[in-house]
Amino acid sequence: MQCSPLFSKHFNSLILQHVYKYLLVLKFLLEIKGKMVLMGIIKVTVPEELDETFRKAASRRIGVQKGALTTATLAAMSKYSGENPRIALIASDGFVSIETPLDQMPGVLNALLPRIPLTVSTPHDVENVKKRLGEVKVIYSAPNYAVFERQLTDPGLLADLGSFRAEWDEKELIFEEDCLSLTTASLEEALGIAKKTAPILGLRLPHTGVDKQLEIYRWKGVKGQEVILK
Amino acid sequence: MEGGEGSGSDFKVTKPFVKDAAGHFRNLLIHSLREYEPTPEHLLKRLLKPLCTDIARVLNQGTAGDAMETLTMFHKECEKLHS
Repeated sequence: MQCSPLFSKHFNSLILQHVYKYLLVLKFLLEIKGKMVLMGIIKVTVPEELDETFRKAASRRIGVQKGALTTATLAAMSKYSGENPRIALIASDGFVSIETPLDQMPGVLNALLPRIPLTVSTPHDVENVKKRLGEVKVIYSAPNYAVFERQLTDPGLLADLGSFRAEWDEKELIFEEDCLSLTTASLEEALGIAKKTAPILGLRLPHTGVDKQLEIYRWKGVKGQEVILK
Repeated sequence: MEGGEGSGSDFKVTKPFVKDAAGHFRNLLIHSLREYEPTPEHLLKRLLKPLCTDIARVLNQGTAGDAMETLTMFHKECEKLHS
């Protein structure tokens, strides 16, 4: 059976329209696939006593707001799975310790380091240091080791060294890639530094008082933060 | 390096690699005081390897006095744990 040319043209046009719509839907699905976070569901039966203990710990560390139990469960699972916290801020009598992805480190260093001459030691040759930071006053050098003095208007540039120790006045900052620690004279000073850096890290400081140590953690892929007061 | 023990100065200046070792040792202790212990990878890469490099530097570039001072600074950090 042969179709009339008019019918055939109309039929082809309909097919093309359907193919076009199908391709649009496919394009849309491929686009959202890249943005989607796939979720799994785990069903477990928890003994009553453990359930109560866990809920108490969760309300203490996360709070009682909506989603707190989910945050606590995911944080516990992350820890059990051997994950490092994505962001950690610890303020104690004598030190502040920060762990955060490398791209946030220049901002953190800018907030922590003063714009005065710093004495810096790093496991790099002097030439390597000069390539990254420009001219520096070399105090000591050895293969793969340099000690120099430099005043930086943008101390965040030091993050490019990957590893260094900076000292000024009575203070010392140890930097290792995505992990740094800074000496402080008191808990109050440490909490002041925590208050200054928390917004950069996307963390919120609790309103409750801190006796000895404050720890705030944020885990990868988990909404909310975990606060531990000691 | 200027000012070290025996260099003729009246005061003793701690050499940078001795301070590096003490700083990395302190960093190791700080991590032990946290609720969440670091992963083995973090412990090795950020804490132990830099400390091992510092110790090697003290042994290769320092004097017996520097080695002694390094241990003394380690001990001071240890004492803080008990205070």
